[in-house]
Amino acid sequence: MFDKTANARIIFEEEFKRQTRRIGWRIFTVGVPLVMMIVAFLVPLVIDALSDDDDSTDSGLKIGYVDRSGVTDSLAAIPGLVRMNGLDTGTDALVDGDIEALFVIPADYISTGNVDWYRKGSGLANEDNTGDAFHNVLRAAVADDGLSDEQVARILQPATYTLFKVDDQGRPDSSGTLKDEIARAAPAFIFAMLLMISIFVGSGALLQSVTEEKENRMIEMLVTSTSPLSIMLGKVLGLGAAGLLQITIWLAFAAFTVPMIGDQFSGLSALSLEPGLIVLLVAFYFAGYFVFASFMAAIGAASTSVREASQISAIVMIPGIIPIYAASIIIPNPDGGLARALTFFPLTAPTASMMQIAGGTEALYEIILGLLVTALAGVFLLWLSARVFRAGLLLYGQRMSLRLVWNALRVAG
Amino acid sequence: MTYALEIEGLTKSFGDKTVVSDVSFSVGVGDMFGFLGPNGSGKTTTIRIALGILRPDAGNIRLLNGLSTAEALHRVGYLPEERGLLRKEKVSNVLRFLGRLRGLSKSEALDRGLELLHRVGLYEHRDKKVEGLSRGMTQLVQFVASLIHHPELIILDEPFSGLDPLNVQLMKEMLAAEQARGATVIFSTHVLSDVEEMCERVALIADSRLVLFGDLAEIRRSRGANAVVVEAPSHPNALPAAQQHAGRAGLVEYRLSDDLTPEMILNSYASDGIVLSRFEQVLPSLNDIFIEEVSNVRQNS
Repeated sequence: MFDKTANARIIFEEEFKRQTRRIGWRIFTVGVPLVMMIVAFLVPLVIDALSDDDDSTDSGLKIGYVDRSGVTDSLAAIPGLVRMNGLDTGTDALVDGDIEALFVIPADYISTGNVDWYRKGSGLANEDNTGDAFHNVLRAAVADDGLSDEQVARILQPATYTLFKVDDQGRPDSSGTLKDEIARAAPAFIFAMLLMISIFVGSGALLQSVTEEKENRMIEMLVTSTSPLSIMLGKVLGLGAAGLLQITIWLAFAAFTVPMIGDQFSGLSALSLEPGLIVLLVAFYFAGYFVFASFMAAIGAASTSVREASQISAIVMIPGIIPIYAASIIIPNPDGGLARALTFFPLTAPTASMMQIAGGTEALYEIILGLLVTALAGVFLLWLSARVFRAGLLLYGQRMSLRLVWNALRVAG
Repeated sequence: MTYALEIEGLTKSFGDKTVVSDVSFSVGVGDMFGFLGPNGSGKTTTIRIALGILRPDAGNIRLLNGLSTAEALHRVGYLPEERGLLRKEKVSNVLRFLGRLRGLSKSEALDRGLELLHRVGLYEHRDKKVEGLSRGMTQLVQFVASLIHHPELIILDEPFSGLDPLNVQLMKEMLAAEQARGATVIFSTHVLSDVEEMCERVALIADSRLVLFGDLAEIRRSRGANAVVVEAPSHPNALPAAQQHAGRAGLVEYRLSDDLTPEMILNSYASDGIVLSRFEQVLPSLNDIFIEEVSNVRQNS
């Protein structure tokens, strides 16, 4: 009995097995975590080495602070630390370059643990070093016998920093706590990168699979065995599953390595994923993969060689990474015109939406609408790729042009 | 009469070029059917339309007594003219994959594939990658794939091209066995001796049109004799040059025409007093019919 679903499953299984048996796939799958492992072990060593070098400069690092809580009142002057009389004096010193960073300990520090951190530049490692250096000041205050148990307990806890970027005129601009910023932006960034990697690997494999079958002259054998839609569905899902397996392996390695390097990058340990965000990530992953994979399948079916198909596929890939490059525009203004426009375009929607989430958008309905648009586009493109796959039969050995593809589509109709 | 394939008024154009024009023929269940035509005459396009790979501009196709194309295809074995398999895969894996797509279980597909590989002498190559096989071997593997699911209808597009005589003979024997099992076999070719040897019924297509269709023996009979074979100790000098049959002295063949009838030949021998040991009218060969019909079509167009 002819069964489209059964045949799609058979093609799914075969494609998955074929892909995961490839030497190239296995090397890449193992290679990426290995590189991660090497980084995990090497980075702390490098950082330690750099930190040793920095010890001499630490003494030269000038950090200003304003203490409105009084916890450091009993401390004698510490080299590299300059106590400021007030915020204005501190920001002026920051603008003039007399100090590298300014910390303001508010009056309610003991009850809240909050500290305001004013800076001119950015860079996680430097910020962490500066933050650690300042925290040493607070810890030094513990030596004061006059502090209460509550004050000691607070001081020993890491402070919660609220970041302020100071412009050339000394005007501060709040950018939230460092932890909030990283926790909000990092998952979205990581997802965007994973999405693009999976798209490059998965849809690249799909492109190769379809083009090889054309070059191998297998298409006629396949289309007389099952429907083009079953073939496309099986291929897209099979190679998508291989891609997911690859990402899962990478994430498992990441889960192992991140805690090891997390101490070196406190931002990484601040990573947190809300359940709602995970649902969105997974949904966009599938919708986005379907869109790109179907595009790749159609390009592979219409092309006459792997090389030709690869060149054309780049045109489709580029929009996918535009939102990552435009992160500096989208994240500060997640509900702006550019962000919204990119969220409704299927090729940019997955990464653009993540950038919007990273920026803390409030227009969740737009994200969901963008997801629907992407999912619908994925279904339509899968159907279209099946037609192009069938039409591709007519293009054996012919140089591809849009007109030829269009004619072939009509003929195969 | 039940039909494995019925084609009615089939027409197909690619752009301005008509490649199949109003073609109609049918193939009965259990037939060994030869689909003939010169290169580029429209045979492959007709087959592709019959199998649903291409859609016709006009006309109807009925496969296996009117099953839907999707249902019928699971009962059809097809060897395309464009040869090829998954080059990076093992032979046994490819056969298992194609067998499963045609409704067999994994183990059935593998067992049957290995059995057929044994039959064609490629069992030792079952674990080789397809790219490691010769072209002829790849063609045999593809042939095996077309038979793997015991199809009711087997359609082969130029099955013997590129094979050595031993493999051609092997393929013919396997096709005869499939016919004996009850399968219908249709194959396209322009090697007419293969058709004469194997087929009861034929269709001839030339320049996109069907020019001949029916029982091969009847077609030949309907054309009438086009030659006379005479065996005698000597031959009259008055008759035109005869075509000497190799291997048998005294045997000659006279091509008939308006100027040379069987009666004229007989009278000539009688008047010279030559006693005949054999006088036989010869029906036209498929080769003669093919050349005549295709030439006529080309002259008319």
